[in-house]
Amino acid sequence: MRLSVQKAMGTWQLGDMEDIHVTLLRQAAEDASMTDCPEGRARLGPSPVAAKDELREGEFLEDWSEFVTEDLENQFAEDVGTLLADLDGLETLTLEDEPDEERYRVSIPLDHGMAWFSALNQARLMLDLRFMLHPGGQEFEPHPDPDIVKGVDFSERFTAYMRYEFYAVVQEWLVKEVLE
Amino acid sequence: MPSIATPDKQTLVETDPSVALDSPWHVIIHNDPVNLMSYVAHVIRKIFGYPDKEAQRLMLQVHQEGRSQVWTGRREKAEHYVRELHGHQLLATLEKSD
Repeated sequence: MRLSVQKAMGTWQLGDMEDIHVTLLRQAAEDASMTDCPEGRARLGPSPVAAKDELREGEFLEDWSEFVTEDLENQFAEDVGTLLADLDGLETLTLEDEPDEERYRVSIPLDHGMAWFSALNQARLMLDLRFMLHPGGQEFEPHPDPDIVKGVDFSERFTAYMRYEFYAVVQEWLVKEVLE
Repeated sequence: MPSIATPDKQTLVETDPSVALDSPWHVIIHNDPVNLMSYVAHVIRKIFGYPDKEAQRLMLQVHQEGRSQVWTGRREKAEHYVRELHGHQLLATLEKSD
């Protein structure tokens, strides 16, 4: 996979992609879903005050939940939609020296950079929570204490971490080359 | 609980004579294991308009101490900044100054 920017054309590009890269990028939309992850919904719509202040701020928190949290959920869902819609523009290329091999390319407007970052970030936040990738805020441990990650399949957790890291590579590049 | 460094002279502290008697509010960014350090610095720069060096300092404070007081001023604006930070998927809260 090759990431590049075409400033003059107002685009950035994911090029030279193999099937696995396309699959992973589409998977990001599924990973970002909050449907089966109530703690994920709470993470993406956190309280604006510390726990100790919540009692005193009751009315303010109700308003915040009604106006801000709902807005943010819509915004985040739109960001995931932007990523999926952009992936619909995928082009298939055949390699000259290997006619059986296919590669994929997609050009994305520069102003979709933040939506892509957001969608990939949502995916990483959800993966982190669903698969307990950083229990207690610690670094990822491939062989954690089974008591800590009770109920999480080891193999699924490891695969989730690989996706988490793949999304992070794209995000890191987006920050440097597109968002700045 | 890690200690919080008081904002240095580069951090914006907004004062308004009309509300001088009100306690100011702080905007706090909290650490999380997912957000990229480069992104946190980018968001601080973008939202608060701090120079790169100050944004990096505040981001490192979040990373190393678990939280950083990134702005102080009127409540209404503090709420606006917290909403912006949540929109960028950072953990942020507002706190009344003691």
